[in-house]
Order: sequence, then C-alpha cells, then structure tokens
Amino acid sequence: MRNKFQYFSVGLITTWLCIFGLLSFLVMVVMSFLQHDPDHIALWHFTLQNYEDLFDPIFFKIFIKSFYIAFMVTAACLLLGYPFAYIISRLPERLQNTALLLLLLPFWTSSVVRTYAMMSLLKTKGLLNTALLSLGLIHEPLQILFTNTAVAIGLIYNLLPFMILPIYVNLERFDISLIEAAKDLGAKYTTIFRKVIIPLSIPGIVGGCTLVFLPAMTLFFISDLLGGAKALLLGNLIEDQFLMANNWPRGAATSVLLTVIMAIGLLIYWFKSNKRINYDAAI
Amino acid sequence: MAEKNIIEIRGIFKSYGGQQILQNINLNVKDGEFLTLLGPSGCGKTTLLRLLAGLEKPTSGQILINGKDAKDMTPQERHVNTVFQSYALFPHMTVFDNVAFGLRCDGVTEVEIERRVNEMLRMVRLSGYEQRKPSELSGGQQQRVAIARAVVKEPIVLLLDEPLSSLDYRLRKNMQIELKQLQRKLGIAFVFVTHDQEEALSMSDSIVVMQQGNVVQQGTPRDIYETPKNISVATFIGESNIFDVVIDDANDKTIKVTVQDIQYELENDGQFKRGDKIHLLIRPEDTRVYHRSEIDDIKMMFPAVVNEVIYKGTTVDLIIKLPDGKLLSVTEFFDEDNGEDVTYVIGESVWVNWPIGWEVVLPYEE
Repeated sequence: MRNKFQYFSVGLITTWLCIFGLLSFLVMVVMSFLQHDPDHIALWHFTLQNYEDLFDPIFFKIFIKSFYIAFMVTAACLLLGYPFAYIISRLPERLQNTALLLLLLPFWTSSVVRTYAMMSLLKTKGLLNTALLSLGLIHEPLQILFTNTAVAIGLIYNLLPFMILPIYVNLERFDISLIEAAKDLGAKYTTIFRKVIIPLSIPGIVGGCTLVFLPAMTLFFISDLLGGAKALLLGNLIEDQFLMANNWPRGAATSVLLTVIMAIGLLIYWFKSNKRINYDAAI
Repeated sequence: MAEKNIIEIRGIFKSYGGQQILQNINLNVKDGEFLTLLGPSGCGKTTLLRLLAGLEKPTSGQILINGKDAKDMTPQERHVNTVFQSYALFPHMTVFDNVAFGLRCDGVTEVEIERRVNEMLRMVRLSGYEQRKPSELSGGQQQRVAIARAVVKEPIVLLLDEPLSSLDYRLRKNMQIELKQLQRKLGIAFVFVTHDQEEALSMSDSIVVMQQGNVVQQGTPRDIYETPKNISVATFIGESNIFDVVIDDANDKTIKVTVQDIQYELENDGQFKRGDKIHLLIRPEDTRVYHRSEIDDIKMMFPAVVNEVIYKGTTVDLIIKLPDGKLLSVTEFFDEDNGEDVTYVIGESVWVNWPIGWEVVLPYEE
C-alpha cells in the first residue's frame, strides 16, 4: 500500500518535472541554436549566432552588472539572514514557530503588490523620506526609488526568507552537544562559531545562496518597478528579448547561458565538498 | 592512592523552571578514584555531571575543584573534561583534528600538539586512523576518539556521561575493561555516569546511588550490594527476594520474624522493636533450593514448586512459587566439586532456605 503510494507520488513529480522542467528546458536549448526570424518564432536552421551575440559588450555589461547586484544581494541576505536563522533556531520550540510564521506572513500577499508598497515607501515623498526628514536626520529627500539601491532593497526584502529557511533548518538540527564539547575543550565562543558552527552549516548556506542568487538575477518585475528604466537585470534582458524584441532564440540562449553558469557553480561546490549537496537543507 | 579530595561538592541545589533537579548534594571525589554516579534516568546524575563540567550553573551551593571555588573558572582553569554520551565528535574534522582541538584552543605549539595527539592515539590504539573522519569509524573507535580528545588535555578529573550506552553488549564489556585500565594508567579521577548497575559494580572504586535528585547512598560496590541503605537502593542494585513482615519479638541483639510459617531469629542491627514492619531481603544467589530427596531435616525450610528454569551457562536461574503464590528468584552455581545436582524440572517440589545472617533487614517503606 505504502509502496504504491510512493511510486505514485514519486512518479507524479517525476512526470511533472520531466514535462515542465526538463522538456521545456530542452526546447529552450534547441531554440537557442535556431535562427532568428522576425515573422516566425524561429527558423529551423542551426546557428551559433545567438551565443555569439551574447559576447556583445552591451550584453556583457548587463551580465556583469546583474551578477554584481545578485552577488551583493546574496551577501546582504546571508549577513542579515544567518544571525536571524541562528537566533530563531535557539528559541524555545513554541517561539520558533511564531517567529517563522511572522517571517512568512508578508508572503501571503503577492510579491507584485508588496513591491508596489515598497515603491510608496521609497519614493521622494514616501514614508521613509518623511520619517527621516521629520527626525532631522536628513535635510532633503533621498533619491532612492529608480536606483540600483532600490532594486537591491526590493530583492533583499523578497529573497531574505529563501536565505533564512535553509539555514534555519540546518541550524535547528544542529547537535548542541558539539557546542558543549567545544566549550568543554576550552574553545572561546568566537572559536566555536568559526570552527564548529559555520563549517557545519555550510550546506544550509549553500542552499540559501542558491535559492537567492538565481532569482536575484532574474526577478525582472522588481527591477521594472523599483529600478525604472535604468536598472536592468538579466531577467529583464531575457524578458525583453522574448516579449519586446520578439527574438526567442536569443532569449533562449541568454537563459541557457545563465543555467550553465549556475550549474558550473554548483558542480564546483559538489566536487569540492566531495559529497552530495544537502538537498534536505535546501528544502 | 592519594586521599586528597580533588572535587568537593557542597550543598548543591539545582532547579529548572521551578522543578527541583538536585537537592542538597554533598559529595567528594578523591584524587585518582573511579567514582560512579548511579541511578535511574531522571535522577539528576547527568545534571550533576554537567555542573562539574561547568556546562550548567548551580542554583545554590558550591563546587570546589582542587580546593578553589569553580564558579567563575574558565574551562582552562577547571582542568575537567568530558566524554559525552553521543561522543559529540566534530564530524567535519579528522580524528587528528578532533583530538588536537582542545590543545589548539589552549595555544599549544603545533610540534607539541603533533607529539601529544600521536601519543594519545597510540594509547587508545588508533594509530593509523589520524586522517579518518568520525563517520568512517566504528562505534567503539568513535568512543575511543572521544576519550582521547578529552584525556589529551590532561584533566585532573575525567567526566564520562553514559559513554558505553550505545555500544552492543560484547563491545561494552571490552570497553569497561579498557576504561578501567586507562584510568589506572592515567591515575586521574574518573566520574562516570550510568544507569547500568552491573557496569557500576564492576568498574567503580566508589558508587554514589542517586534517586530523585538526592544522594541515597555512597560506598564501595560491595557496601552498596551487601548492605544497601534502603529498599529502593536494594531493588535498584541487583535482584532481590523481598518478604514484608512484622517483627514478632525483639531485643538489643536479635529480632524474631515469621517467614512462610517458620520463625527465624535474626540479628538486630537497626534498633528494630517488636511490631515494626520490615523488609527482609534475600539475594537470589543466597537463596538455596534442595531436591526433596536430598533433605532429611526440613526444620527451618519452607516448600516451593519450580515454576521456571533458565539455563545461563555458568548458572541456573530458577523461579520458584511459594504456596501463597509468591514468586522467588534463585541463582544456583554449577559446582562440580560439590557434586550437587542442579538439574531441576518445572513442577518439581523443592525445599528452600537461606544461610541465616546473609539476609538484609530494612525498615519498611511504602
């Protein structure tokens, strides 16, 4: 009985992923090698032109900038999220659940709506500027909205839970007796943190970074709304090629390149740690 | 053996959230002794060990280590190290790094670390395993790494929190011997926590029996087994046959009690009076059983029927049933010189007695 259910659920998910994950990815890969044609989606004609186009300095600049923003966002999420996850994981169980609920509560609202809310907070006469002005901390409104800073704030806000949750899951299962053993052997708290806690939570950190880094490059609506026309993420580039330029093959090539870069990153980790990535911790 | 107290525990109380875990614990650990904290789970023995390790603070009371108050001591000043129940080996470090961890915390030079760790690993017979990860070791090997990691710091007292509980029976027996040998070789005091009375009896110089946050009795294994202070110690340590009886008559020297319709005159070592209720305790190995055919003089013997025969190799354990339905445990040793026939069949009628004077008389408790 249990076996049948296992086959069923594993089979269902496998089928789902094959159709909507693997198959659509393969379509993209094929598409990326086809020739662009303004009148059709693509021409059935093999070419490497789409990839050569990506070495254009303009694309290259967007790539670099997008990587830079995603890197900063991931770093910020890690710096903000790790202590948060650590503190939650050390709370009594009842408080842990409350803290997690509070963390996830805003995400019951659509992220587009929340991003609009972020706009009204950050705009010239928004809540943030009004508050800072009335406190006398600034004398003229800060120009945050429609800058890279606004995009970064929006991304961090939206992606923080994806950093916190994997790290929390990892730390929550952390064997306290290891900390006690280190203390017993004479380790100072900084040593315990550096030599025991951080190394053992690497799977959670990698899980969190993976979940934050990719969306940080591709959440185009956040850069659309908060960055104005100035900030362009890789996600916007892909979106533009598909919808504005109507150049599906090049959009596909951009996507595939992104996937390849992420895969290389994960493979490096996989070989370096010489063990399976802890998917558990990455929920 | 030095008689100096290396640890003195004075009037320790400990409570968590209004719940008393330890009540007025007074205890000394002598230099170089193997002391065991023995008690059922939840009796506070692990809490007491954690107080000694400095992982918890007492609610009130004082712990002296080497004559000095341990309250504000850093782990470096304490010179007390712990072998944890789950071993708590660092899974991301090699065996060498695990053992070296404590020395590195103390800022010992790498040359010195190399020497001491290798020597320690040789002592626990793990040379050649330096570069393994804990997950690549067997349970017994992990156990030895945990011991090496604590001992390499040269503590004056080594604390062991049920270190053998997750090993299988044979390995546990071997580790008991190894631990005892290690303790003799190192000459330092071991404070060992266990709920296994057999382990406590076979390893300890001194046993502290704990119950519900109190020390009930402290003494040598022999003291504890042969003269338990109360009925709960007696029943916790080893098996016993217990008769609850009322004293028929008593004077300064003797008491008279009736067991199975026979009046016995026993030594009065507890100032018992006529009419006092007592527990009369007879250990299974002191309970004697005879075939009907063996015995002519049945004075001072009572009848029973063999209910169960359990062959144990070196002994035969019997469960016998008295006429009133009460069951007794009996352990008979094979004694080839004596030629006594210890082959019993279920349902056989037998005669029972015990060597007068080998019983334990304890005041009655609910």
